[in-house]
Amino acid sequence: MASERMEQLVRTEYKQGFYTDIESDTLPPGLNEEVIRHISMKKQEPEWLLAWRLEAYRHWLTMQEPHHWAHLEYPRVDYQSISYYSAPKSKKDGPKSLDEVDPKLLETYEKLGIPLHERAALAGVAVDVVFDSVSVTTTFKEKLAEAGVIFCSISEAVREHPELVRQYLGTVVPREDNFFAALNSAVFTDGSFVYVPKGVTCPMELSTYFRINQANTGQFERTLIVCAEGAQVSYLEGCTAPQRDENQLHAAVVELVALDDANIKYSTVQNWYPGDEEGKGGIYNFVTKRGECRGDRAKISWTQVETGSAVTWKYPSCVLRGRDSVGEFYSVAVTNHHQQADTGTKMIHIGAGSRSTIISKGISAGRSQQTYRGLVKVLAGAQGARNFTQCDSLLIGDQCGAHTFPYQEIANSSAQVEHEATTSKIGEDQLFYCQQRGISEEDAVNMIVNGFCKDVFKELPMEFAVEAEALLNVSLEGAVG
Amino acid sequence: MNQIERLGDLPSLLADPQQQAKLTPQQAQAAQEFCRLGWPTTRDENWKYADLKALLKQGFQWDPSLVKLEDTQLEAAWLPLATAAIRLVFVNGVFAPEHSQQTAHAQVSYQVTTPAEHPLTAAYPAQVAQDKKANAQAAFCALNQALGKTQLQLKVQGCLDTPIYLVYLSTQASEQAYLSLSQLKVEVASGAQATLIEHHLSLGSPNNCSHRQAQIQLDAGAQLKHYYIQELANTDQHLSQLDVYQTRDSHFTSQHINLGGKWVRHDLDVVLAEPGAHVELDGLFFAAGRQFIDTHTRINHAAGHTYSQENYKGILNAKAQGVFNGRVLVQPQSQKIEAHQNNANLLLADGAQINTKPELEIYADDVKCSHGATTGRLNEEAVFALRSRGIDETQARGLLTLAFANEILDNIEILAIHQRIEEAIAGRLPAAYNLKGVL
Repeated sequence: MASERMEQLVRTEYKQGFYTDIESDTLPPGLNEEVIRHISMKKQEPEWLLAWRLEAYRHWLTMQEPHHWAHLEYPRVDYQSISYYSAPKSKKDGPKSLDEVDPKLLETYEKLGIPLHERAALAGVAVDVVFDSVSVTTTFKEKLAEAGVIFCSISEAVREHPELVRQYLGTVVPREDNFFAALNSAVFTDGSFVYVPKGVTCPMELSTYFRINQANTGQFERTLIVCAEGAQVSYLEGCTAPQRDENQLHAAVVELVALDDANIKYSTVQNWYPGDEEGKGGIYNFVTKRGECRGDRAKISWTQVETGSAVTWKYPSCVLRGRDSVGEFYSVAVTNHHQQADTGTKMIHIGAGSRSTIISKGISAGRSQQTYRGLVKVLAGAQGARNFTQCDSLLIGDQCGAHTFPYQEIANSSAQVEHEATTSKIGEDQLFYCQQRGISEEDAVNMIVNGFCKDVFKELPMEFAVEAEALLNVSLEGAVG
Repeated sequence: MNQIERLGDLPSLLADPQQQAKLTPQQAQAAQEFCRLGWPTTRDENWKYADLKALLKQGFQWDPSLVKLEDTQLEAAWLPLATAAIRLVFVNGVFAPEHSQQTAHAQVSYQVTTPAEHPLTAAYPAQVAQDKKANAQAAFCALNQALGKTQLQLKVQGCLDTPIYLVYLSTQASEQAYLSLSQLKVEVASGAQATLIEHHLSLGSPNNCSHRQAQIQLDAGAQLKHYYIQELANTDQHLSQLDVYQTRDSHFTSQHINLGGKWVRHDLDVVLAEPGAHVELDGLFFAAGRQFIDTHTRINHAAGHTYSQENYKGILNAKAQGVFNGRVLVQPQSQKIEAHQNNANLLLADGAQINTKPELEIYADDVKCSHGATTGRLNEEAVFALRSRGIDETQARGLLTLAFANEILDNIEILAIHQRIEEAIAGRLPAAYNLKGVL
């Protein structure tokens, strides 16, 4: 029976679930100004950053967790039961090469199917590995340095390039932006910093693998990418997390700044632990991602494949300030079991001639609930702004839900804004057509689902596209509607 | 209590037990409900763009003894319908029998009563799956229940081949603006068919505020065509709540036309409660000057094998602001449904603004749902195509705008309405859009 096979496949276990036992230097749970001072001290941060964090914290205290608008249901997070700092114990100077890296850590990446050195060498990818909250190893630094590209952990950037960090940090996502951004601003412990100078095309794709490992540690990543005039960079972010029973909070902030003619491509494959079949456990993924096309003809492109997390709250957005700037958002989101995802994008058209494209594909199975929530806003000055939005949802099983809440706020008559959305299940006729040509039901479903997502996958860098297709097949293979 | 200095103070006034003592128990209960709910604010998702601040600052009175109709030109204002089964006229919400045409009909019966005598109950049974986001105008409906003076009950029992025509007039009753509250309850019996025209218009330019709450129930196999034509003066404020409850194989079509009003808010909630229910909502609004027109529609597919189709179009000029929020909810277990929604908006000037949100919320998998929303101005290539055939530019723009509206107007089967609206659109177009000699 098709439905039985579907059951079977839907029950596929989280293949990346394991736990690496590394001693950690962890703060006791709780959040207060002392904790923030401690984090700042541990990171050897300058005075201004501590003040900045404390201001964010004080503002955060006045804010309420947003529970009323998102289409999500989850128990409230007790922010005092989370530990805000966790660093793998390392030698004073830290590892200088792969040989010095904790073998257990390398083993973890082996299990994930990411042979770090091989991958780095063969694919020419520099990996700034974030394990829990501290960068452990960075590769290909010299090659990047030759091109003048700065790629390091944000803590390192604070120490070595304070003027750049201070100039851009919090300018795209202000501290007061939202509850989770304020929390992140107060307690962020790590993340990446990229600066591509004027006219430089980054010689390789930059990549970071995030891992959550310690039980009860939230991760508060802060990523800042700045592309100066005419510069180009492609950044890859991928996530997997070990199987844990308790919900873990992840509240990252990603800021992108593109000056004149700059081009930033940001790709994500997210496969955090989604909780078990009963909806127990899993990661809370409350992320604020925003890019600003500050210069004319700048371009920011977000591509994401979201398959994990118990609860996702994520809206990678573009502020199109420059003339003729371009924003793009390509997304595939897959939810299964009891997963909930409220995701989408915002395109704010400020500059004349700014253009944006939104392609969102949602696949909802099991008892999961998935929501696309998007905003296209055209301000009065955005002459000739153009947006095209397409969001399609595929339903697998009669217990799941797929929802679409697209907002359009248009205040310029020369703007052209289009939105279209469809929701349906895999057609019996489509399946029949494939099967009568000798393709098994399972393969047919895979084919149809992959075809459904093709528009997004083709935007991914090659190695990510392979990973994404594999992920999709693992999550849904043979899930026949 | 028949007037208030600031409408915003009404909750504190009604909370007074002495005031409540003057009401019937049910009305007092409604007053308490109103005080509990309070006025909606823009922090409420349903009222995100509809700011009540200006309205709540105004003073109103609602003394029906002051309502009188002096204008003898009344008949020129309403639709020249060839035939109408009955015509009922309400002036500032108060029934005006002297202007009504109350022919006896076997297929339709009606009664004008008050909310005090016949309090409106919930629009549909509690066991039918509800939409959590419905009842946006709950506060206004409670107010209507507490202070309203008029309720019209209509019952259709057979196939009525001539329309029922309801005229709602807004007039300057006294020096102070009038707050008119009225209720309408329509029941179309099993297998019955009817056409209902609701026509809201102003005489002169009063700055009244009217709230109309309506409930329509369609029994098995019933069919109703509903025309809602709002041509209030650009000084008038208007709110309306319509709840439609559809049972097995019933058929409801709505033509919702909005041309006037300074500040207008509509909520159309349709519940498809049993298999075979079919609904089609068409709407057109044209806002100019500083008009604000906000329409929220909600279609609740509470049963399988139901069908909905929705097409709303907006034209905005000058500094007008339009809001469209179309919501389609498919309840769990409502399999084999089809829901399609379309919203298109034409902006004629840079100061105009449109906020649209076509929402789909789907909890069943065997569904065919789609929605689309577009906003833009006239296609320059289409303008060029007409010009290349010798039509001058202003006329080309006029024709294309009319063609945009015609997608909705073409479904209007009553010629008098069709012509009236076409002319109204032509009359409201800016100078660069000319339809002279075309209509």
